[in-house]
Amino acid sequence: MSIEWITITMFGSLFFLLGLGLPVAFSCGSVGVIFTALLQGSSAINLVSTRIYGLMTNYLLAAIPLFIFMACILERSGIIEDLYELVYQWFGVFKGGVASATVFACTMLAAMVGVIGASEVTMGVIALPQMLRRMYDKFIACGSILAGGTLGILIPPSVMLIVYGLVDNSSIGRLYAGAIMPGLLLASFYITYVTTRCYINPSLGPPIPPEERLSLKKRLKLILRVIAPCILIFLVLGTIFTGIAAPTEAAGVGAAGAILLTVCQRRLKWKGLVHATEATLKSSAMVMWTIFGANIFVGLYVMVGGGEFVTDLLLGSGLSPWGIIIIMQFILIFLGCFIDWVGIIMLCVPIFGPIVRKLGFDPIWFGVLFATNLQISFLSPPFGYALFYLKGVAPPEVSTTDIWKSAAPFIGLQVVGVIMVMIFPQIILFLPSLFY
Amino acid sequence: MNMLKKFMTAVEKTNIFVGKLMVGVTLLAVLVITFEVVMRYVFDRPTNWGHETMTLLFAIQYMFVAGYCHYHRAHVRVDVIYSTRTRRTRAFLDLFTSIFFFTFTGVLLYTCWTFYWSSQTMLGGGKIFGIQVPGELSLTDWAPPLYPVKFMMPFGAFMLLLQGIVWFIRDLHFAITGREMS
Repeated sequence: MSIEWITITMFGSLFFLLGLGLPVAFSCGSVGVIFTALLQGSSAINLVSTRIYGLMTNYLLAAIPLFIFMACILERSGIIEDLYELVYQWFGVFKGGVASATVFACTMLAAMVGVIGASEVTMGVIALPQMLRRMYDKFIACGSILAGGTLGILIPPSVMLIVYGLVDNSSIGRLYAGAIMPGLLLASFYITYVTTRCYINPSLGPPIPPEERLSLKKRLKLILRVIAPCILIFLVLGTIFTGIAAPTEAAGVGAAGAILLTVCQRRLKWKGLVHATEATLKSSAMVMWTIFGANIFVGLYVMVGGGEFVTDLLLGSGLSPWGIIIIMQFILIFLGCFIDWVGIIMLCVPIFGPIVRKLGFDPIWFGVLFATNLQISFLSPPFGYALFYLKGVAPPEVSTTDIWKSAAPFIGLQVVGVIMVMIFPQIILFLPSLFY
Repeated sequence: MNMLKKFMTAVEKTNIFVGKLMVGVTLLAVLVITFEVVMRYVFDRPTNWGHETMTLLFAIQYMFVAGYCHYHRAHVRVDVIYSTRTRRTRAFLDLFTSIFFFTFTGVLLYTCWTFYWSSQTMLGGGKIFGIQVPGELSLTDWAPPLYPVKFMMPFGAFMLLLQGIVWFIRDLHFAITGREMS
């Protein structure tokens, strides 16, 4: 079989199975296994266990369940509520302040968690009803939660960048340093957007009435309650950036620190800990098995020459290097509508990574650009994690269509963000050059 | 029919139990890595087993949660078409795609078993904690035997396969009768 046919039949059958609703892990895994047997003979299927063993005993990948665990603990600890209360009291006096407070709180949370579930769900539960009660425009209310919560997986610690760094063989510390500025850039876009809209038309997001505002003294007091989690963040991120500890060690300490913190503040009982761990098991199983399955699929595709095929196709197309990067962005946006981020990283990075290096671009820059682009995938219907999470906790008067509509302007802002980091690579590369 | 129901309950209960066990394994892994970090950076006395123990504990966890996660139907799917269908259409879709599910898990079980068996029967062995163990040892300073971890691979794949069979029976029942199996 020629490589053209292999490409068409492999990806064709993969998308067929995905469309029929077979989980991503098993779709990738089964297509990978069947094609391995067809193309390389039945004895080659022994690669399946070797590949899985290699991934499951990977020291760096262990940071993923640890970071997920940390997020699950914080989600149940009430720390997120404290953080929101603080930001809300400080921002609420402005027009659209509750929405911008939501984004701001999400951004701070993003520095504690590496996934999006914790912030989407918690903000959907506490901030959304509050905004709806204050007669906020529901599109602005939902959109700010959707977009803000998604920052969790971009701003370090980020589970996404661990997977990326592992597949692409690039430094996770550098990727983390590079992702800070794009994350803050997007956050500032979101805040500027909701604030501008609400200043133009104050009925979209009225400020909180004076009688509900707390005195300055009480507001300062709120700060005290979030000091401890902030120290935890500085410990975790600080040790990674200064290179003292490996990401896995930092994640482990972060998880233990989160438990210690919540137990000392008497916010977590044994039952809560067990629930948090069970949620961790499900989330990490989802991520890990998608990694396993997709690795079997893409491992075979690269082995039979798929990587060179796509490289030749792109390099031979007569496009300029920037044209190729732009094409890649479109591919990512398209895939983001249908596949989850783990699948996209596993399928694209082994193929794109070498091309990017061949074209002479900085791999760290491309990695962070990739992650910034994948922010869109969480919001783009029909398949977007943020949409599912918010729909799961939103009150019944907010329909799925409302949520999809509310995501649209924020997707626009994310596209602007992606273009910005492409035009000004320094946004990404400045911090890594400072730290390393 | 009764036997079948007993089998299904047994599989699901085992997977729930395995989930509970894995809660313990996860907490233990967190404890081990914290201990290692404290020993390394506070007392400057790193152990030679901390990192590897944590990694292997997580390795065991990944293998076993596959079945647990499948019991909760929590594996990520692209439910663009899937979620908007009726339960019965979904049952038919699942029955069709289960051919591929079983192909994958079947191969997984088989290859993991041979992988484990070659590790167990490998010439080598050595002493750990003063006990003589056979088979493949890890190539680290600590050198624990690897076959107990590798044994968890076919075991986990087996639990995933069994859970898949349970879902297959449930889907088949719904596709034929239009009701959930009681």
